[in-house]
This record gives sequence, C-alpha cells and structure tokens, in this order.
Amino acid sequence: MKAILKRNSIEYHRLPYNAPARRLYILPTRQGWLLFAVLTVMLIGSVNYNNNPGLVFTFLLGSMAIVSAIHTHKNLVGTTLLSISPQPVFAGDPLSVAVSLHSVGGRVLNLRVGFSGEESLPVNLPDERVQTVFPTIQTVSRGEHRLPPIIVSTEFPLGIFRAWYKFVSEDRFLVYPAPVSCPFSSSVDFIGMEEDGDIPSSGVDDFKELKSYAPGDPLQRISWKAYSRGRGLYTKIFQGYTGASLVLDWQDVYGDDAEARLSCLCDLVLKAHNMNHVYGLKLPGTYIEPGDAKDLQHREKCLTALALYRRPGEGE
Amino acid sequence: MPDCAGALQAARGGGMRDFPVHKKYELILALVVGISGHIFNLPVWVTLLCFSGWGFLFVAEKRGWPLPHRYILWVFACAAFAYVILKAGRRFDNDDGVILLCLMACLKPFEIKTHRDSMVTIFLAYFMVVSGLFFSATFIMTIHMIVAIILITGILVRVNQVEMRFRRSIRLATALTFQAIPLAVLLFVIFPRLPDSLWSVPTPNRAETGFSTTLSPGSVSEIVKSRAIAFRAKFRTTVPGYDKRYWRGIVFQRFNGTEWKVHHWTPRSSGGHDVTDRHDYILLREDTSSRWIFALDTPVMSPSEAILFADNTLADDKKNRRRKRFDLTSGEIQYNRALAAWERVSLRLPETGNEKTRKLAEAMFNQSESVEAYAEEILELFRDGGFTYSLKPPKLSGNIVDDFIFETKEGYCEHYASAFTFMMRAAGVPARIIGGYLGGEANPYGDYLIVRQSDAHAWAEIWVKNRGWVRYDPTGVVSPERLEGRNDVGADQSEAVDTAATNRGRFADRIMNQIRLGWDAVNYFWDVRVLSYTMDDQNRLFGRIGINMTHLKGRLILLGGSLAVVMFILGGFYLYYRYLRGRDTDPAKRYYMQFVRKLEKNGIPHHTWTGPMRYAEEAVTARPDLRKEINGITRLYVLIRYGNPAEPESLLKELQRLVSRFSTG
Repeated sequence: MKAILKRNSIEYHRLPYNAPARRLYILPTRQGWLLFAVLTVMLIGSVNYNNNPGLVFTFLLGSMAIVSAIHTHKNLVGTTLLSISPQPVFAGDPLSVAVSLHSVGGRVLNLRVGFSGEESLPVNLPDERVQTVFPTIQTVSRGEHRLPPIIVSTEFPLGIFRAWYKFVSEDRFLVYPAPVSCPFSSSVDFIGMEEDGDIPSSGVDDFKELKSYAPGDPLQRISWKAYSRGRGLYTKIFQGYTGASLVLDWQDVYGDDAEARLSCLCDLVLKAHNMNHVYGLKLPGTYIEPGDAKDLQHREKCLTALALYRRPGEGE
Repeated sequence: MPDCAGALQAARGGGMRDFPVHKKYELILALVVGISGHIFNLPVWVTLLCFSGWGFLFVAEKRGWPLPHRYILWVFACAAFAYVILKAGRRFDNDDGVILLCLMACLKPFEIKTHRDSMVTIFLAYFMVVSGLFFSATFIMTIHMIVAIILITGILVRVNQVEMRFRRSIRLATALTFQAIPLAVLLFVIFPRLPDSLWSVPTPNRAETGFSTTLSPGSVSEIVKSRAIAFRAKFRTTVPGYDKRYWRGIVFQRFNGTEWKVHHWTPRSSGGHDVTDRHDYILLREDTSSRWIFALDTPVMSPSEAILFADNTLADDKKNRRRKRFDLTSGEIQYNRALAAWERVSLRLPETGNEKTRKLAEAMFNQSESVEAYAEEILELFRDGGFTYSLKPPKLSGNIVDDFIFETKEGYCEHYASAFTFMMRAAGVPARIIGGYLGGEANPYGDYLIVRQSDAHAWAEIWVKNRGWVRYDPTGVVSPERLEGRNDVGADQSEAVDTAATNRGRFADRIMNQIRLGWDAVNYFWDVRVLSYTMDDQNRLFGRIGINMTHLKGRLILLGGSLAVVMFILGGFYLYYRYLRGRDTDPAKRYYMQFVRKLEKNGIPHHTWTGPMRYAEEAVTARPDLRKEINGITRLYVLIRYGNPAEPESLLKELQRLVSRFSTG
C-alpha cells in the first residue's frame, strides 16, 4: 500500500525533541478566517466612504492579527518533548500515553498535545518544570503498532492562528487482545473460583490456614467469617494450592477464529493471575512454562505472546 | 498514516473544548466597550434595550436563573429587526445598519456555548467600535478607539487562555497593539484612496444646525444660539483682518413677502475672473449637514470635489460623501461685465406689499446721485433713524419690511439685510442677501481661525455698474463692534462680564481658554493630517517619492492591484488550508465518516475519540435492526485501516459500496 511505502521514507525524530523553529506549520484557524472576512468588510466599507478612521481601525486590527502570528510561533519555539511512555493496554480500550515536555526559557501557555487523529489535551508550561500530559490513542486491534505522530500545537494568544509541529516516533506500543469470556474444555475445575467468595465443597483444594490479609490478595479469599467476628482481615490459604498448575492451551479453547481464541486465552490468563494460580500458556509455535504465582512479569510475558501471536505462515 | 491533516484535526481539538462559561462576564464587557462609542448617537431605546439585556444576562449568570429559550430569542430578534427595517423604509441608511448591529450584539451573548461563539462575540464588539467611527471622528474618538481595541483584545486573549490574569492579558494586548502600529501606519499611507464612492447610501438624517435654504426674520438669531464650531480655516498667506472675515455660503434671491429663498436655477461659474487680494487657505468643515461650503468672500476657484456657482457660492458635489477638507482660494473679483440674464432674478419683488418702503425707496433714490450714494443714504437711515440691534426683536407681521422700518426699528442682522435689499430692489437696483459667517477666533497654537455658529451673519450685495457685486453690511452701522470681532449681542450675552469680578476669576478664565484652544489645535491637526488624508494628499506624497498617481486609470489599477494581492495572499492561505484538510482522510476513513454521518443524522452522536468498535456497539444498541450492516461496515473498515490487508483496493471498493447502500431509513 502506498501509505506503507511512504512510511519507509519518513524520517523519525528522536527524543528529546526541540520544536523545530524553521519547520513549524502555521495557519489561520477557522475563527481566524472569520476575522479576516470581517476585516475585509470593514476595509471595503471604509474605502468606499473614504472614512480614514475606519481605515485606521481596520489596518490596526489587521496588523495586530498578523503580529499575533509571530507570538503564536514564538510560543511554540523553545518547547521540548522529553519522553513518551505508552503502557500496554487491551484492544478497544483507549491507550493513555504519558508525554512529558518542558519549555526552555519563558512561559508557554495554551499548548495542546495529542496524537494525530485523536483529541488533543491542553497543557501549560508556566516555568521550566516538566509537565506531563496524557493523550490517548484509540486502539482497535491487538498487536504491535507504531505510535501515531504526536502533534504539539498552540493558538496563543488570540486564537487566530494555529502553529504546530509533529513528532514522529519509531516507538511501538503493544495492544493485548481484548479479553472475552468464552467456553472451554478443561479438566481443571476452574469456574467455581469465579463465584463470589465461598469455596465449593467439592473443590480440589482444601483449606489449610489463615494468614493476614496483604493488599493485593484476591478478595474472594478473604475469610469473612473471621471478619464478622471482629478478628480483622485474613486471607484463606489452601492446601495443595501451590502444587496445582494449569496450562492454558490453545486447543482447549473454542472460538470462531484465531482472534476469538486469543481473546479467550487472554481472559483466562487474567483470571488465573487474579486468583494466584500458577499457569502456563501453550500456543501453536509457542510454549510458556508456568511461572510463579502473582508474577506480573510472567503475566506480561503471556499477554505479550498473545498480542504478538502470528498464525504460522502469516507474513509481517 | 502520519499526515498534516490528521495533525490539523488533532490540533483542532476534537469536539467540545474545555470552556468555562464564567467568562461570559468579560464578553459582555467587551460588548459594552464596543457600544460605548455609540451611546450618544443611538436612539435611546436601543441603548436601553442592550444594557437591560446584558444586565439581565449578568444577573442570570450570577444567580443561576434560566435563560430564555432559543425560539423566544429568535422571535424577538426578528421582531426588532423588522421594526427597524420597516421604520426606515427606503431611507435605510448607515445609522439603521448600526442599530441592527447593536441589536445583534445585544442578543448574541444569550447563546454562548462553544469557543467559537465567544470569538464571534468578540468580533461583534470590534465591529461595533469601527461602526462608531463612521458617526464622528475626532481625536478623542481615535483615543477611544485605541483603548477599545486594547480592552477587547485583552478579553480575546483571556477567552483563549482562560487561566491568564486579566491584567496580564491587557498588557499583552497593549504590546500587540503597539507592535502593530508601524505596519498599520504603512498600510494607511499607501493604501489607495478612491475619489468617489463605490456605491452611495443616503447619508444620515441629522439635526441640522446652521443655515437652511430659507431666511426669515429670526433665522440667524436662531443659529447664533449655538457655540458649536462650524468650520476652521488655516491661511497659507496673510490672515484677513476682522472686518474682512466674511464667509460667504448661501445667496438668497427670491422674496415672497415673508421670507427669502435660494434661487434654484443658478448656473455654474464659468470662471476666469481677474482677482486681486488673493488668499489661499484650507477650510476644514466641522458641520457637514448641508452642502454649502462657507468660503471667504469671494471664492474664485473650485477644488475638484466641489462646485462653484455663478453667484460665487461653493457646494460639495452630490456624491453623498460629506467631505470635510477643502483647499480654497478667495479674493476680490474685478467684474468687467454687465448683469447676466439669470441675475435679473435679483431685481424681482412681489407685486404688492410694503408700499411705504417702496415709496421711501423711490424718494431716496431720486435724491441720490449714484447707486453708492443711495446705499449710503440707507445706511445713514439705519444709523441715525433710531434703530437698534437686538437678538430678540419684536415679532414682525403683515408687511414685515414696513413694520421693521417704520414701527419696530429693532432687529438682528437678517432684518437689516432684508430691509436694505428690499429697498435696493424697490429702486431698481439688483440686490441679494448673503448668508454666512462673520469673524473667527484665532488659535495661536495652530495658526488658524475657528468660526462658530455663533458667528453666523447675513448681509447684502448690490450690483453697481462697472463694479459688479459690491458688499454692503448694514450691521456695520448699527453695531460696529460686530465688525471688530466682538459680538456683545449674541450668545455671549448670558455671560455678561461683571467688571467687579476678581482678577483671579479672569485668570482662571484665561487658563481655561488656553487649554480649550490647545485642545482644539490638537483636534484640528488630527483632523487635517490624518482623518482627512485624501487621494490628493496621497498623490502628493507619492509624487514626492516619484510615483505618478494622477491618472484615474493608474489609481484604479493600484487599488485593484492591492486588493487583488491581498485577496490572493489570503486565498492562497485558504486554499492551502483546504488542501491540507482535503488530504486529511485516506479513502477508507472518508467512507467510514460518510457512514458515521448517516448515523449521526439518525441521532447517534459520534465523537472523535470514540473508537469504531465502540461506536458500532452504540449504533447497534440504538438501531438493532441495522445490526448486520453496521457491524459489516465497521469490521471491513477496521480491517482495511488497521489490518494491513493484502488487497486493499477491492476491499475499499466493497466498503464504498456498502456505505453508499447503507441507509437508516
């Protein structure tokens, strides 16, 4: 596709990125055009009646509008983009990216930062301190995507002209598949854990002991009996818990297509993690061994594998 | 797909921007500043309406009252507009246009929701300021204009940067204004002026001071009540003495027994007189409500913007521009001709009436050796016959000339001039009354004369063989101090000087006088140099640089060229802007947006930040019957845009087909 070919010839910018003083775009805004139309009407009226005060006013206002363009330009020059940090997110959710910038010397007001095609957010740089703003990107499909260009713009001071520059980054961001509850076949009696609170009596694991509640412990595991007796918050620990480990297998899940399966697996990974299970992931061409329970890195590894999954034979 | 237009869209900021509505106060303030220049010129109801509307809005904002519904406002607006337009009828002029503008300004603040609305309000305020300049243009108004620009621009800055403090916004606006002045001055000087209007609009119907086309007993005493300035004159050569400061404006030829009227059939002057005692001067009219230009007795040439009539009066041409500044030349004309045929109107009298005066005139004329001697006789009559000069003489009735000469013997300048002229005509001597001004206060600060309405005067002219028209001013014998620049009988009468007044009082008066004169000089210079900067000034200026602009064609070309260049630049910008916007979307997005718009029309709003899948969910919830189509289109779009398909063209075609077939009906 043409867009891709073009992309190959685009140059990428590096952080930290200073506003390119000579390559700022600047154009009138919609209100700017309206003002010029109004000025034209005033001009024609004044010329017709040979009304010199009217001409003075028109020229003064017009000159001010033009001079303000210089102020708009100046407002943007001297800003520097420092860092861009996208966090991985699930498909369909908006991705918030932390963008930090600061201004070298002088106040910068009424900046707007946003991704190309998305809404821009206002930010002011009243002094030299770094400010961070969180523009979002709409994500649609999973996988690794290139960051869209960041647009830094301003309409200071009169809202008549808009100046902006673009930052094109080579960075990519990761989008995990959207988790979707789905049916599966498995020997592991897994579902029971999803209901609220109580352990089914026919559970595989037996209750072993109580330990003090630590933040992050799943809420299903809290001993409400103990709490209701005024003994505080305790988490139930199950015997034989650490022994059980599951492997979430591609073949065990059912879905219309590969994407549905990936979504399903993603949901399972999340649930397993939340319930402190030890789990592994098996995809065609990939096998991730079960890692430690509650290991965020392991979760990330699995989700990344799901995000980047390519059907054998699928090209780039 | 990085591209500029996406950038534009992002920079445009999506849908609703963060907009704190409490800035409404400042927007209303901007409008108040805008209307402030008009307050004395607008009809009272308009001003009251605007202020009560804004006042209501102000209080409603504070107290949280609900605002009138949109439709009520529209109905009100249409009613008010209709009233103004119908009332003006065919005589709709600039003043009415300004009223409409103020009405719009009154209603606009009721409907401020978006950023754009507040910008439009600011532009309305600017427009009101400039329209005020069409009413009156003095130095003070220019200062007011600059202050208004700074204030309104300061508020504009605040509207755009809501967290900026007010004082800082004003400082920024002031800086902008002063930075803009050099460019503005340059544009002002070089931007070509037109000799004529492009189109004409009836000029405003203002209350007329000064002379009208009829003169009757009491006319002039009415005019002199006002101390308003009629005009100023700056002499290039010597300044005439007090008794030569006759400013000639209107010639009254026809008498019908009660009043004198202007003769309609006065032809234009053919010029070419011999002239002595020339004076060259600049006349700056203050009061432009009538066509007449009061030139020094006698104007001998006509500037290009005026017409010189054969009775030696000047009027501006009818192009509906009340021009203020004229470069004139006056002097004493050496007549070497006979009475022209059209001038015979100055012999006519009504058939009957004022018999006593006619008899007296005949008797006196027969006793005199010459016309001049006869004139002196009449003057002696006035001087020694028990006549008095008075601003409020008894009213005349019946045969008013008889009444004046034989009964009341009291009158103002028009009475004497009228009687003198009548007696001349009764003796068969062509005579006419001249209405104009006598006098003029010298302003040492500017080296010019100030002539006021209180200097209004009427005198007579008679035709003497071999001499032509000769001026006779009967007032000179009845009230000689009038010709010395003192008009004790007149507007100053109320300020009777108490000789016992303290010296300190006189000193204060003198200081006030100096201040007044100084201020007048400032106004005068501003008026002459800047506000009256005309095509001729421009030609002269450019001539000095070496650019010849005297040919009309050259001027028009320059004007057309400048406008074209300005339009071209702006148009170029605009096209570039549209081009960028047009490149905004790749085809897939364009089709998708068509699809979105169809759904929006059906009541499913779309925001820039809503992802296609989410929007599809919302749409399906609203219209489950269209589920298949909505999902199909959305999936296809997502595939094309985000999925890197192998054969995008065929998919695009399919998408286009689906979207065009899609309908919410």
